[in-house]
Amino acid sequence: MLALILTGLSSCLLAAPNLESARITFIQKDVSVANIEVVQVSGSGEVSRRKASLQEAINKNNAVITGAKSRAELQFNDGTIARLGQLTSFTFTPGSRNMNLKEGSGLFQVPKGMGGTRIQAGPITAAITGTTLLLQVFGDRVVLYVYEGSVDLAGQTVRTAQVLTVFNNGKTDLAPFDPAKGVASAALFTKFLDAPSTKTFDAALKVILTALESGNIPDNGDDSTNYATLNDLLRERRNIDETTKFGNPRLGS
Amino acid sequence: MKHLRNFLFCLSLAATAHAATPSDSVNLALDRAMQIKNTGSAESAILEDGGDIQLLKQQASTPFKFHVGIFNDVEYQSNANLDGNSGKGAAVWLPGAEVGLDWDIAPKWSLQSTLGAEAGMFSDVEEQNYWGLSSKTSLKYSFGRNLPNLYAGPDFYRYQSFDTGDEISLGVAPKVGMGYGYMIEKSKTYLFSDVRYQRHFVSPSDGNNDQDRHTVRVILGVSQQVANGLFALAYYEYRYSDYDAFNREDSRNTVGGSLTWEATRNLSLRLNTSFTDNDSTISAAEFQSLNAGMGSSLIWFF
Repeated sequence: MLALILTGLSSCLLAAPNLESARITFIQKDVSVANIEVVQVSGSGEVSRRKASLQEAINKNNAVITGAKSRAELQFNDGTIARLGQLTSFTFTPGSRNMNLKEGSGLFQVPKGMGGTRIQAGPITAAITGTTLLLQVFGDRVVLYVYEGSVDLAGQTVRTAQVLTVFNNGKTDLAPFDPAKGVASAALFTKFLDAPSTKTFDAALKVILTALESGNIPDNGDDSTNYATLNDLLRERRNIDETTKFGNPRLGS
Repeated sequence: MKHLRNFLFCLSLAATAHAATPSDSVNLALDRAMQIKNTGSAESAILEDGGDIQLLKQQASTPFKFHVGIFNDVEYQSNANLDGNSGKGAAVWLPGAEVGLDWDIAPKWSLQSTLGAEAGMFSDVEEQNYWGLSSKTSLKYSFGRNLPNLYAGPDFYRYQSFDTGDEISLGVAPKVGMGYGYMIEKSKTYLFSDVRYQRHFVSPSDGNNDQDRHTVRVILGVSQQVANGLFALAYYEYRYSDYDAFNREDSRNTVGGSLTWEATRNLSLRLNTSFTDNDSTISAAEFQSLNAGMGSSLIWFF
């Protein structure tokens, strides 16, 4: 009990500000805002939709919906940015750090120090600290790319330059990927060159891409480390061998 | 007061974890708002937004990894000729090179193999100058992240004297062992251990020069990432050797440490030191030695 209290106390004293408000900062083609209040309250009724407009405020009763070949960007009060891809539905819960990506895809940049952010992606929940990540919710799976930082999802910690696929049957597949190729090929990057957040994304991604090119993945933040990569461990083993030999074959191995 | 309020709020959140997820009514509302289900066209749209996932995964999942390394070490050995506790001190240049293969054979199974060449050039005890070739192969089974791994495989080595050209030793040494490493992510600390049994069949194996032996080696160590790319390492090693041909048993204790800076993905520089105390039932085999030096590794991965 004491541990629970201390854990709760420490995490709360360091708690990041809640998501309170968001504005639509970029619209591409068919983006709408749905009023979901009636259905939320009564469990029945119709959902009204209207065409979204730039700088429109989004609240707890709204969902942002994108159509085919359509995309949108939201900026939150704490600096969090959410880019929504095609055929996507998205909501968030003011007074918390919870977001919901029910269908489609989203690119999220959560500022460093904003621990406790959770994104419900289809049937599973991603726990995030300061991170740049891309989530895709397919009919049979959820795919998470981590461009910077680390994300806990489906019992696994996914780190910079890793992609985790979680299938609806519970199976998972963790693999590395090339963030530079992702930035060059993903429409959530390439179709947002005119979005106001482009400079913010570019600054963060430039750091990680430069580091990756030089072979050094930067520190992933409070909850992670890049220390356990295969090459690191191999090199550590090599260091042990190097430091335990004398350079004299009489000593053997 | 504000912190207390936040604290109580967090406790209530912990007690009702499900509250962190959207309610069914929100999902119902989203379903009605979307009026679109994930179809084939939706899948291709999502793929377009996320990039070329299949190509990237195929590129990343190759089961073979090769490396080529060039190593250079210079160190001072207080007892270079291993003569009790008062042998000659000498500076030693230890160049080396190796090629290696890491092969993920199957889930949890991997094969690691290296072929290397190395030499030792002593400043004051030139008669000990040597060069040699060695090969190390291990078939490894890993139980999982933060769990032990088991390995087995043969080592081969051949060393000869630079001065006389005589063969110093030609050996085959099958080994079995268990390694275990545990990473404390918060503090970027890596604890590791290794226990190995190895049987050395060494030529020449005649008379007082017989080096055939059983060895058991235990290593305990800790590595700490002290800054980005900078690693400190400390270890303790115990090695017991039981020789076949005469009544010789050695117990060797070594403590050491290193500081390694990974300047780039390919280049690392290090400072290292160690102290060894070798007890033996043969007095001539007893020695103590303090070593300290610096080195570099150039490694390319393919």
